[in-house]
Amino acid sequence: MQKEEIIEKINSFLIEEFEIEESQLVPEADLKQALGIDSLDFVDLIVIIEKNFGFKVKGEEMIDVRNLQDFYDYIIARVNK
Amino acid sequence: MAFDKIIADKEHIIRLIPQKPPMVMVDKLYFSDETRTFTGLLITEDNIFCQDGFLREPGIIENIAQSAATRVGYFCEKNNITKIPIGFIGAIKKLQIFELPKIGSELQTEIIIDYEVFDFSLVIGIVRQDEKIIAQCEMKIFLKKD
Repeated sequence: MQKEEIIEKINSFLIEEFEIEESQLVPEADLKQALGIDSLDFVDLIVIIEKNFGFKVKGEEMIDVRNLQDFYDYIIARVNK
Repeated sequence: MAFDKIIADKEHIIRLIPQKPPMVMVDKLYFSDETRTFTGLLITEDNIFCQDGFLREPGIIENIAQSAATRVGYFCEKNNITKIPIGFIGAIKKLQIFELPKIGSELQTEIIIDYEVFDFSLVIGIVRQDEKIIAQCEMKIFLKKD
């Protein structure tokens, strides 16, 4: 899967499932502070990732994921592993 | 769905879930496997969630949550797990209540396990009365294991 395709897919579920405005989806946006994704939303996020990208997320892998760019990078790395 | 027999009655269910009377909102377990569970509840006049002849919304939500808890308790019992984890409702989404059930009616609740991740279960709860869906929601349940 191409990088652009992955980013597009991520953005699309953030808009649809988490009701985040497209204008908020900038790479430096902090997932908690700027996008308002709390710990319970994180569970939904993991479910969506696993269903859409077909890999299992391990909790410890997400520790360093703070902003949207980290999130894109994590998914891209895992998808292309 | 019609079931010929029950696999747990109210007395048995009380041993499977943390709630105690008068908070118990499940009185029959009909079926439970890896992904689906069916429970029942006869709405009696003394039900604490009844008002003006109907089971109110909190009672319906409690019925769904306890149906999910019954599934966990039954699974633990079947697998000789003595410490049954306690579940906490993390979130309720897409709740729709189409009608309130009357006192004297019987509910049948279906729990579908949509996804399990870390200590969370994402379940879909569907409440039926005479085969008709009267309520449904998605519930995120956190299972505290010790």
